[in-house]
Amino acid sequence: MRIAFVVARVGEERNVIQRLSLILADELRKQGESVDIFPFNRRSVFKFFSYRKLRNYDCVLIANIGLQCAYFSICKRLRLIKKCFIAISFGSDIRATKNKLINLFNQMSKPVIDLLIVVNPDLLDTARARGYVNVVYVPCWSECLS
Amino acid sequence: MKILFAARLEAVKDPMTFVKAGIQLPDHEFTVAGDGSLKKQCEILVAGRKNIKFLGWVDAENIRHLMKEADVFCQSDNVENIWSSSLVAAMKNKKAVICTNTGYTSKYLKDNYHVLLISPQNCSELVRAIERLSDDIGLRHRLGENAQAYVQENLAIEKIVKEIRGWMTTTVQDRRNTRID
Repeated sequence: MRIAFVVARVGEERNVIQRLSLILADELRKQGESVDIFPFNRRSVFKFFSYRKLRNYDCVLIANIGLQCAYFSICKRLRLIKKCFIAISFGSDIRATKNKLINLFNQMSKPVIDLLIVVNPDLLDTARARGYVNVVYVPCWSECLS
Repeated sequence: MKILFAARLEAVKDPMTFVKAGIQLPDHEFTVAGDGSLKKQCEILVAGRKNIKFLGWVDAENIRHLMKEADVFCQSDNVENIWSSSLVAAMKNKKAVICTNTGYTSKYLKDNYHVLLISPQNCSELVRAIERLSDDIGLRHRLGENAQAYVQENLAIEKIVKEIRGWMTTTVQDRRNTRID
């Protein structure tokens, strides 16, 4: 399977989510998948045709359902991308129910996410309460960071 | 006994309860590895007590070293954070772990078997748990061994990613079956 993996904050040593995402990408490759990382930063928002590269993949995997997810979700809602969207929530995004921006990003991306993977068991309830339909739980692979 | 706390110093991680326990137990060594908005508040509370050290943000390699040195690891999160990197690292390193019982934590980690579970923001329970571990070296070792076995059996990345691949493949195929891209 050809996977486009959108990851924010690539290169920030302190950011656990980006480290876990890169580890996941490596392991997916070891298990035979073809994974390309698409680093996402605030400048990416202004690259209006960045979605075009995603057309060559079988699915788009997105780490966390924040700005990066909302951005590509708009492209999908405009039918500029028609690929399967799979998002992984590490919790900080989906738990931020009082953060208006995160709420807005969630609202934008929710309808186009085909599968939401959560890495904490309580996030299953949280995600369903927020209206995500196809949600699955897997334990986090943080063991690799130690 | 050396007790380690490694997390961002933010309200959700509740470092204050750990620091308050350190104030009540001057015979034990408390180490706080992490930075955040509550750091100043914690330092003011400690007021120079020598048994509580603040290291600021610590890189992964030094966390590994601290983890090896520690006798007990403490996680005091207010919300479920069962598979946090530091908690899992402590379990993998056979440390006795004290952890807050939030969300589904007790479904996966059994009290008195894998970890000692305490209520969130409850300093007296944390103090009692530390005293228990201090008095009972056998319990410390048992918890460490059971915790390590749990990580080896359930949290191997190969197994988790295999599961993720399965979900991804099914989703992509289902979508292909329902519409043509």
